[in-house]
Amino acid sequence: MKKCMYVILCFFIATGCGIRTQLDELTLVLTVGLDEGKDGNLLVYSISPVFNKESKNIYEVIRTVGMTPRNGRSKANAFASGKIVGGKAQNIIVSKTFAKNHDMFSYLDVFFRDPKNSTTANFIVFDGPLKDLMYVRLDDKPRLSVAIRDVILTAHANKQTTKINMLDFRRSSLDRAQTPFAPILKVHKGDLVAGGIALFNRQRKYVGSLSQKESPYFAILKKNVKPATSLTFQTKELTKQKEYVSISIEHGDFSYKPSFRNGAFHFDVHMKLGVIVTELTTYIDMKKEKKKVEKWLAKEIQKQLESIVKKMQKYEVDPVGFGLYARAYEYKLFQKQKSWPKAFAKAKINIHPTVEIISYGVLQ
Amino acid sequence: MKRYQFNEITTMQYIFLISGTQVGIGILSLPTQLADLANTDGWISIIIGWIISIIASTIIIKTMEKHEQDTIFDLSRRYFGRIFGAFIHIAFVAYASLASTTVIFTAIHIIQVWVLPNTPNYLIMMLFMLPGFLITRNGARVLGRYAEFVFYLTLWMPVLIAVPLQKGTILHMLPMLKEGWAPIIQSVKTTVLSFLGFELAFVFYPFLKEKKHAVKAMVIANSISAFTFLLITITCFIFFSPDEIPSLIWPTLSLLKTIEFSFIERFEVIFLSFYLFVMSTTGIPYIFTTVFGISQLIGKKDHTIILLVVVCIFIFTSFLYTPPFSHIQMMGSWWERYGLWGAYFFPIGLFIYTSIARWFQGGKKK
Repeated sequence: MKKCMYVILCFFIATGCGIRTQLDELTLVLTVGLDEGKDGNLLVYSISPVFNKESKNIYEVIRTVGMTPRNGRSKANAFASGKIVGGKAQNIIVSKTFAKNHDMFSYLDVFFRDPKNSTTANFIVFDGPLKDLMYVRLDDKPRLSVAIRDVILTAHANKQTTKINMLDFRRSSLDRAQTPFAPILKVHKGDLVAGGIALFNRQRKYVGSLSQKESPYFAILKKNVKPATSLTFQTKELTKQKEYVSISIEHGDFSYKPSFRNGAFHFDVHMKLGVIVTELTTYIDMKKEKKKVEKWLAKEIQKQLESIVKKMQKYEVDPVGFGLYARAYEYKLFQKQKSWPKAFAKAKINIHPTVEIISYGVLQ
Repeated sequence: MKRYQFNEITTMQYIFLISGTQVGIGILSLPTQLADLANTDGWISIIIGWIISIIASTIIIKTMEKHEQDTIFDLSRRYFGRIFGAFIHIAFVAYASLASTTVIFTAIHIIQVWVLPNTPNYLIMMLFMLPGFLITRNGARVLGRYAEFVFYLTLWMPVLIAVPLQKGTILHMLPMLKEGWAPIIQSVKTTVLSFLGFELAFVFYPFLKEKKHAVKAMVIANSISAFTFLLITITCFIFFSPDEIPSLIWPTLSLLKTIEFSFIERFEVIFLSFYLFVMSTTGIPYIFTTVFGISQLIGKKDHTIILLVVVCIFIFTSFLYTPPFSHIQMMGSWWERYGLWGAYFFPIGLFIYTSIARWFQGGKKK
């Protein structure tokens, strides 16, 4: 009986061998690109690494025209050197024009519905036609897919842009209390540049963007200041000269208080930012003028924050998630709003930052 | 005289056997069902469901206490006579077999969707049945040991589920009692059903060595399950937005998809492979109950042959029939409807009936 069992066990262990797949027979798609073709067709790009020693390129780009991403992929199987597998995708890129004209959600459905696809891929908006990116030659960089990911991650760490994966994108698109956003990627003189934030409206269509300069402030509003958000200001108001001060925000305490008065939502945003002065191109006596500098910095930061909030209200988008606070603390009134972005556009947002200089380096 | 002297289980084994039966496939879809009815207040109804299930399981123990060596099969014959008793006997066997069928086919379906899309139905079924057969063959003691072993083996899983907590926001949970109590009360029906499994105390109680700990053991088992349900549900609510959860069929697994290490992707595949252990502790006690019940019905002491027949039926069915998702949902809803009667109404009725009957009998003796 026992011997018989072992034989049967061996048989079962071997069952996996019948349907194995070998790595070099697969085309692992690391980047998927969606763009609009000439006649409104969908162009699907996919970048996958090539492991063959004899081939000249280390990655291949396949372009197909399809009705949907999955349809495009089936067609791409005709080109690819192996069976296409999407589970390892690192980046999902859409072009700006495509994002402007289409509801992103219906095109991204396949990435969520098919559990074999990775939902942790980065979602990126590309400024320009996608073929510029797909056929760019980067001789000093690793494979394109890896290079794209690295650029986004580095830029995100330095708050020059943001980062959002497919799952976060889905969450913020489905939530009534917020709208999605995505990092922007560009090709500038043959180099990859990440900077700025694309804003999507309730219908998941691209409506506008925040510039690279505004991105750190967006990060501050999202309470995401760690590790160190670096800002540079002109000291014209302070010293009457065209000099600069650079600071890096080390930590922050935030509080968002929603209320409802006179038919509109009010948000009182208080933030305490602890900063380190990292650069001074002019002489300021820090010992004496610390309080004054702190006050001036707070005012500058407030100005910038208010301007990007205005911008978001103009576009009727809420990527920061003010709606989350409204829903949590003013539920009944929130439920009454037909569309939160519209209510948000009318909301009054008062931002009161206070700055505390923790240190000003090793110089006086 | 002890009837099951060679098959006794310790209190620990009993606790893990019951809570292992409770935590199974339901937990994978529970957050969605709750969010559908009560939004993010659903977790409150888990607590209410927990209290109700403790009450129901205490009633079961109180009923069983009167005849310590009887399973539900003996009990039904003792109180309801030969014909009517056999009817209840068969009904309970049918319930257990429906439950085991549902658990096994759901497990296979989930495995096929998430992990092994190309592997045929029957092959997975055979792989399930092999350990199932080996464990069930040996009776309650091995079952208890297995349940305890699986519990320790899977202790790391709740810790891992809590990892996505840091990425979510507690704002999703606020305000508490958004829409008042009405939707919470409505969703209690769902949570009560996710506690199904304690009704197997009807079968396993006679095997318990120290009967005086039985009520305590039931409370602990229910609490372990309630803690697991709460942890997973709250994590899902905090991580996903309240408007997103209803769109997911298996939110728990979607949650796991987000866990990623630099050296491993699609962590849910590994999680799910381990989760098979947890699902097996749900399925195997039900299979045991079915087989044990049938062998009692036809008066056989050894249930190995019947088990063999049942296993063959399962494998044979899987060759001919691959249930689509709609059928699996249907089976699940049958089980739940049946379970509501079997685990909540039936014990209360039985308790009242046996009390009255004993009172009458006691009166006669005096």
